[in-house]
Amino acid sequence: MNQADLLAVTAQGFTTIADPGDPDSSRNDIPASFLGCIAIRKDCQGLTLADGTRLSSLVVRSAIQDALTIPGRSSLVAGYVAEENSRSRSLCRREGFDEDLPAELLPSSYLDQPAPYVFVIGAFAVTTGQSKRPARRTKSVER
Amino acid sequence: MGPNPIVSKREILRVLDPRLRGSPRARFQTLRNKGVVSMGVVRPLAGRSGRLRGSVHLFSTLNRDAVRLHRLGRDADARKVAKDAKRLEEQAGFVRLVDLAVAFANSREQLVTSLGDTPWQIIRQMEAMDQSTRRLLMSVATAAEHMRQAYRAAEDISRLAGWVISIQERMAEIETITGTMAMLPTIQLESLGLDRIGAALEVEWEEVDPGEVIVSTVAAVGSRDCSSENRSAFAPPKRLVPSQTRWAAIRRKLDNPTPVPSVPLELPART
Repeated sequence: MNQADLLAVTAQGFTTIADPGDPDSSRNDIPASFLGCIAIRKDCQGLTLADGTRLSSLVVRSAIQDALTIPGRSSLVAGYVAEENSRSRSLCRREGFDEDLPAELLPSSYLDQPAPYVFVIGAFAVTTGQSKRPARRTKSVER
Repeated sequence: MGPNPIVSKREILRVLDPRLRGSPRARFQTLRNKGVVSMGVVRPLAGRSGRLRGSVHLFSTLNRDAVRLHRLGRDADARKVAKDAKRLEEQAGFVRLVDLAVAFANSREQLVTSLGDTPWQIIRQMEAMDQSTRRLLMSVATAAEHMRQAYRAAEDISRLAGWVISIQERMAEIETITGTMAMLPTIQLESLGLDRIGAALEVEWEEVDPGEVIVSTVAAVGSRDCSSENRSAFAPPKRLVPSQTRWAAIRRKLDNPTPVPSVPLELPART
C-alpha cells in the first residue's frame, strides 16, 4: 500500500476485566478488546462518505468489528481517550461508548508527565444493516 | 532514596501519640496553636460528574520531625522545623506532587480515603507510574532530607533507611543506604505492604524510657521494584480491576449491546 493511500490506523488488543468483588479469582473475568489507537490522517479528518457516514465512524466501526471477530472475546470494547481530546470523546459517545469519569492519570507517550485520560467502554453487536443516516452532499472520499 | 515527602494529619499525630488517643482535630489544633506544625496544602476531592466530595489536607513529612521535637519538650526547635516544612510546602515541586497525588486518587475511587489517612499508599503507586513522576518524588524527598540533616545530629534517635533484599521465615533482610545489613521482623512491614523485595523503608528507634523504645516504620521513596503494571493509554493492560460502579455499568452494557452496522471491508482472516 502506498503511504498516500493510508487514511487511518487503528490498533486493538486484548485485556481482561476482573470482578472487583472477587479480584483474586478469574472466575468472573470478562475477556474484552482494548482500542489502543484510532488515528485518521489529518487532511481526511472530518470527511463524510457519499452515503452520509462520517469517515471517523467508519474507522471506529471497523476497529470494533475487527475486535469482535476474534474468538474468545466478549462484546466489550474499551479504551482511553485524552481528556482534552473533545472531538474523539464526542466520536466515542456517538458510536456507543460510555465515559467513566473522572479522568485517570496515566503515563503518556507524548508528554513527559502523566496526563488525564477518560476510560471509555461499550458493548457492541455487529449487525448486517446499513447506516440509517441520510445521504448528504458534502466532501466525499473517492478512491 | 528519601523519606516519603507527603504525610497526613493522622501520620503527624501518630508521632505525638502512637495510639492516637483523644480528638484528632483538637490535638492538631493545639499543635497548630503552638506553631509546631505547618499549614499544609488543601485540595478538593472530586466526586462523580465533577461534584466536590470533600477536601484533603496534606503536609510535608518534616512536620513529623517537628512534632517529635515538641513531644521532647524542644518547642523552639520544633517551630524552626515547622517553618522549614512551610517553606518546603510552598515550593513548586511539592505543590505539583500534591496535585498529582490528588488527581491520581480522584481517578481511583478506592484510593480517595487512603489519600487523607495514608498517602504513602498513593505515593507508592505513583512511584511505579513513570520516570518523570519518580524524578519529581525523589526531588521533593531529597529536599526534605537535606532540611532534616541540619537538626538530626542533635536527636537521640537511631535510624535506618534501606531496601528489603530478601524475606525468609518472617524475617526481612535490609540493605541500608550505607551498605550495611540489618534484619527486621516482617510483622513490622506487613501492614504497610513493605514485605516485598525492593521496598524502600525507614525505621526509627526512639528510647522514651530505659528499655522502652518506640519503633516507627514508614515507607520511603526510591523502591527498587518499580515495575508497574505497564499501564498506559495505548498499551492494553493485562487485567483491569474496575471500581464497583464501573463494574455494574459494564454488566448492564453486556446485557444490552449497541448495534453496529457491519463495515463492508475485507478484514484479515483470524486463525
